[in-house]
Amino acid sequence: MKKPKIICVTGGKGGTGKTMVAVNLAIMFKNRGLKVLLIDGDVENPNTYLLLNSKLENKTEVHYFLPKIVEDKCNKCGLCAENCATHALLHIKDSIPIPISTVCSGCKLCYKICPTNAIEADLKVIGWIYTSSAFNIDLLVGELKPSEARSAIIVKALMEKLDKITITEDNKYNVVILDTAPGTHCDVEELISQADLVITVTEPTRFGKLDLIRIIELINLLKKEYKAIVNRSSLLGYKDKFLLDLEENSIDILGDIPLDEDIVRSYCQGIPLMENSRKSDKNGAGYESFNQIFENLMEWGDL
Amino acid sequence: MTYKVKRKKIAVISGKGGVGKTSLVASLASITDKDTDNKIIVLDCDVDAPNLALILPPKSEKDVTITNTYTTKKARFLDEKCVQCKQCYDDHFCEFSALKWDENNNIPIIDYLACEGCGACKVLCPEAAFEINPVKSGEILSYMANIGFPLIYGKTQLGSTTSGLLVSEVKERSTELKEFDNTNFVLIDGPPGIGCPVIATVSGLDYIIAITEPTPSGLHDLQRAIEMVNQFNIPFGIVINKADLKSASQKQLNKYIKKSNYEILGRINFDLSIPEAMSYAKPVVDYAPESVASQAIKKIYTKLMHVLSEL
Amino acid sequence: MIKIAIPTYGSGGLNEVMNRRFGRCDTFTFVTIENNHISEVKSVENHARGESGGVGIQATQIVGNHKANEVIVDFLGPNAADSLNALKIKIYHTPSVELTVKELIDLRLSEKLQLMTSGNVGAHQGMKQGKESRR
Repeated sequence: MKKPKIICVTGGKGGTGKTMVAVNLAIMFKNRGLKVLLIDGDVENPNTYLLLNSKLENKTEVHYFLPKIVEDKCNKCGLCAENCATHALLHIKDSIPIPISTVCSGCKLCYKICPTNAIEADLKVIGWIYTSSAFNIDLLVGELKPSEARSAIIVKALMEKLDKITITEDNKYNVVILDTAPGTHCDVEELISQADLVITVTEPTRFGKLDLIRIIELINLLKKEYKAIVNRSSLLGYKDKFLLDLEENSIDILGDIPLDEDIVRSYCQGIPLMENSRKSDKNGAGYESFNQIFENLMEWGDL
Repeated sequence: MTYKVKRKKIAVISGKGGVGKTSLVASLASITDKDTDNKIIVLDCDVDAPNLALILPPKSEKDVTITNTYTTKKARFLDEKCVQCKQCYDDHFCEFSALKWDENNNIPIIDYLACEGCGACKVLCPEAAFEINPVKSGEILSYMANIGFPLIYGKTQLGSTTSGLLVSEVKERSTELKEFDNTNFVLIDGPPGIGCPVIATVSGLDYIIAITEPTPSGLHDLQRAIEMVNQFNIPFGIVINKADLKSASQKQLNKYIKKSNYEILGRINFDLSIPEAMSYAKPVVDYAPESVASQAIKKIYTKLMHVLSEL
Repeated sequence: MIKIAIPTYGSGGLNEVMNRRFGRCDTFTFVTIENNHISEVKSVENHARGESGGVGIQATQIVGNHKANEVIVDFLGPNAADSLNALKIKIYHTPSVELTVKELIDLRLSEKLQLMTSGNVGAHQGMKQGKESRR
């Protein structure tokens, strides 16, 4: 079984261009003849398919566990409530425990310890997973249901789907690209932990740097290899100073992408800059820098 | 002209990251501070990646109070109690994939980062070979900002799964300040997204400012943020950043706003003063008071005060 | 017969002032009313007040285990509200702060209190670990 190379695109700071970079990297791998899967792990606000103008299909529900008490089996012993770490089962003496869904962690301990097997799984919808495809790349998109809190559950479901594909459809993909949410929350952590390589997309500002250092702390905790891409590098003329600053902090740089109106145009059009059929200006600053980044990536990832 | 507002709690959210929450909060805070009729407390609830302190630093570094929080729990394996029955692994005690098996030593290993501290392993192990302990979940920093108002922010300990609790703790701290009773409003810089930490931020608030930009993801993420806010029945207004950006989404955004009849607090046209101000770590209304952006934000402030006084 | 639970400071009782926070009060004062008169008053320590989580639910368990069918509160978090509603315990809201248990019971008996159906504060707003000073 040949496992695909998994590349995670993250960044810490929001709005640095992670999704734009992830999408264009996916396109460039495809251009090289590789089979690509792009996973949208920013499940609170999935955007990959918007940048590709593609339709979401095959909507499947993702569920989370809540306990349901089967009343005629319950002996009211309260063992479930007593052992529930989050007090998600309300128990009054000699009565049937009542699940309080908002604090349930989904640990299923109650389900496992009930002496009369009176607890069943009440599966609630927390979100959905869709498939999509565009420009010869496949997408898996996760979406959290607004008002639900635990996005990591959908991210885990996405990764389980990937595992399944890897096992049952050998060699279906050569490269898998994971697009994460901003921040350092557990949904981002989950994706970084599954990656072979991590790319952090930042911007040449002190805000970009602060969040970059924070995400690198997380990446180091997860013992992963990473390199940075500085997007909008020509912003305010700080590029050289910023790149030097990163190097002095021992942060390896995969490349930088200057401000380029064509990138903004492609973003709004829903056709990635590096997609051949778009006929982007191959001498454009953005286009050239993406090519350079891709070559560096191919070398780094041994692809 | 000022409108009297009493102890209103408002947050700026966006759904999409990077559309200008922190920048707007910094400027609104500065304007409010200069408005002698209004006293403000500012919070940064983007606890996974707090940035506001860069633009609104403390008056004095030595007056920053730092408190550690311990709301995260993690499991610890007790080697001496283990009889190596392997039941924990075989019977899948852990629903969070945090319990792995060390083949070499024939004992379980806890994946610290994945562990959610639910305590199932502790209860289910027949030898009680696991214990659950509180661990540092983050820090709360509190200080008087150099501009002149109290600022509190939270920062999660990486790997803690309790961002929501830290957000709530930051909000709670604001009510403990001696300035709280006299404050006119609490202004919160919210996290990106619509999940756990954002929900904890908006919970119990009086008003939300949803900021967006006319791009496909800006519009899409705004709609989701509004869907989430509507679940909590909190009134809100929209601010459009980079409002004159030429894009197909411009039309879609206008259509959406017209159809939904949502309140527009204001529009800020594209203005390089904003990234410039950020690079100098200053609120744009202080860095470039006559700029297009500053004028727009001042108008937003006036409208906001009017809206809040009518709540 | 109705039994009303009121979160109180200190050791509770009819003359004690109501505690603004349901989950983190020091005590619950239970007042039993029969034929429009107070027939019994009992105070119980709130063991849940120092816990780090699920306080609203645990406090509700105390109230439920003592068979109260109504509560009178000031601030109520969403978990406590959900739990009280699940047990069908009626929730009344105090019209002002610093009222004693006796004053609140009088207001309740003259039907001057409003019912609440959901929490009125955000989650975790009582997280000071039970060490509260009176305002």
